[in-house]
Amino acid sequence: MKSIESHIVRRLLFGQGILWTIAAFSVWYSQRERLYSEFDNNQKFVSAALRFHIRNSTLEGEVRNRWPRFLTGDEGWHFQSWDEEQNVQVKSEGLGEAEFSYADFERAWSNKDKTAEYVKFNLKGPDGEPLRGVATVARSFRNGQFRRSSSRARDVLVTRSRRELDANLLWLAVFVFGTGVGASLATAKLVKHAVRQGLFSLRQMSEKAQAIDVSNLDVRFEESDLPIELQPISRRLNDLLRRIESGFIRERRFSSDLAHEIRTPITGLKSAAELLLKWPEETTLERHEQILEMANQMEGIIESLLMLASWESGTSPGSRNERIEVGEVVKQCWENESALAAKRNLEYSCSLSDSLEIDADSNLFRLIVANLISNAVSYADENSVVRVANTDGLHPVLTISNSIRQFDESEIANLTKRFWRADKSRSDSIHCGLGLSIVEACATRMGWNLKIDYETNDSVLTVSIGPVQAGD
Amino acid sequence: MRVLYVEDAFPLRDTVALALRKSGFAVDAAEDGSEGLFLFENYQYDVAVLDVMLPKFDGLALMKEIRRAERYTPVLLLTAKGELEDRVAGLDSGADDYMVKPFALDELISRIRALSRRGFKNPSSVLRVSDLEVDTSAKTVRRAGVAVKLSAHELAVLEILMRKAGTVVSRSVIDQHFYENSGLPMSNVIDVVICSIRKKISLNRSKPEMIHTRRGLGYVLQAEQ
Repeated sequence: MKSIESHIVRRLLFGQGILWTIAAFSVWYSQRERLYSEFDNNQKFVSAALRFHIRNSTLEGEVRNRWPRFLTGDEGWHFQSWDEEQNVQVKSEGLGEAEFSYADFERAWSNKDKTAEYVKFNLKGPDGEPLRGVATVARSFRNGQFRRSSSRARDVLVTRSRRELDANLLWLAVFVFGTGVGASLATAKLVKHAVRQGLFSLRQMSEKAQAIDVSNLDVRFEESDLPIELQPISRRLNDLLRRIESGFIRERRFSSDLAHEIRTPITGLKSAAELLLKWPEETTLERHEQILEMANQMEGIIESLLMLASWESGTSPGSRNERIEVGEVVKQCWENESALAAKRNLEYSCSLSDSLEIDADSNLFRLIVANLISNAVSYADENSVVRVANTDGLHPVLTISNSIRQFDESEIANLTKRFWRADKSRSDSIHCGLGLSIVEACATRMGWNLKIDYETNDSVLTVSIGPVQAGD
Repeated sequence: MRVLYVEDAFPLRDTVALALRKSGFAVDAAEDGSEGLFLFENYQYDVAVLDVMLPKFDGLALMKEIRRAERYTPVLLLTAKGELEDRVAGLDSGADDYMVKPFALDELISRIRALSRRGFKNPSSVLRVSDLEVDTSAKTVRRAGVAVKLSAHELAVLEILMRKAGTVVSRSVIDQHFYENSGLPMSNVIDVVICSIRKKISLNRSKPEMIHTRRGLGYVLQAEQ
């Protein structure tokens, strides 16, 4: 994967290279045209003058007085004219025996606009000198055909060496090319610097993102320091980081709590095994009961976790809805806890109608009621009342409330978290902090809603459960 | 050696306390922080083994109370919290050692023994006074190269006499170190144990006595009277 920086730099340099090439060629070409035009204008004038003097038979004197270079052929100055038969009529002395080919003139003329009065073309001198020729054309295009302008009109070619012109053009090309290359290199550096500066925030953000791992998920991107284009990205990243961090904290807490719940009974089992191996005389019935208690505790935790996992993954087969007598289920669950309730001197108050029946998954409903009553009996204040009611017809189906003075209202949100326990020491081996998680999972699976309220004035915790209603 | 062990999980507390007693430690086991603090304030312990998450008064708070009372009893924290930050927090708050559950009983006992040796001038596990040699780790006793077989209690009492060789060790110190809440300093349990040790390490009177009685003061172990 290429970096954005090199990608942008490469694209910009490529575009800039094309622009520089076009600009350089335009400059060179316009200069070339200007130089050729100046060059040709001079010859045009001479050619016209020569034609005039040829026509008036005053050529010889004029050449000697005004254009003596035609006599020597210096700097490639020559002239030559052709008659109607395309024969050489007159030519400059500098040409000596040599003469220009009419075919070259004719070819140049036929390639041009045929109405032009002059033809300009490049040709070679007798000594191989590169020449520029400008010829007056003694023809005009009328009524669809070419005609000689007049019976005395002649095609007159004037040549001049273009060695200096070509040298100037070459120098110009080198200069433009050199300037272009120099400017390109300077621009490349500037572009690279500008892109680097422009991408500084992005690079900084990338380095910061690369440095993030599980040990520093609290890192956040400072939005105000970033360009506006990056602010939505950083906002999103910060949001994701927040979620990942809270997920990690939750997972870590879950792992830590699970480890604690499992490690204590494992230690108990391991220690008991080591003790009995080392001192077999200590094998007693009571010791075996303790080992069984620890094994049961671990089994309970693992069963609860597996149950939750299978519901969450959807692998647990659901049973079909059936008619349930709510009062009967509540009564059975209370009876299961009656020994502990009696020990804690709890009073049971049930105001459920005997005829209250619902259609629901009976296994899940029984699990919900059993957990809620078990929690109420375990955590209600001693000598208090556990109330079970159906307050509002069928919604909620069930309300279980009990007094609990040692409770912080802010902990309500934690009650359904896995392994959360009111008793921070986690001494109770009957509960492991999964009861309300299971209740919530059952409720969700049934399409029901779990609601927990705490009345601070009366210190009463109320748990309501029932089908999800509009507005819940 | 007398150990205070505070753990709220009953089966574990019962098992570990028994294993420590079988290893020759006198163990007072408490089920919560406040009971642990009460015991600590009223008895002398060579080592305190504390669970971190305890009802009423957690292990770290209990340890801080111990340190606040300027008691430098070595403390071993025993907990299910094994994260690095938990271990660092435990050791930084004044613990001498930290063990994460589940642990091996033998390792726990070795660590408690190592911590208990810190209170003496000679922290080595091999103690020598004249031709009497006690290896507290291997639990062996030799007198003039001859192996002597002692019970766990006898070995523990001999160890403290060896560690404090040349100085008088009172009956109450022995009682506090080796007998859990016996509350019977006038009982003859200690005399019986001392008598048994004397007999065994003198190789049935074939070697000179090394444990001498200081009337009204206690016992002293030395090569010659």
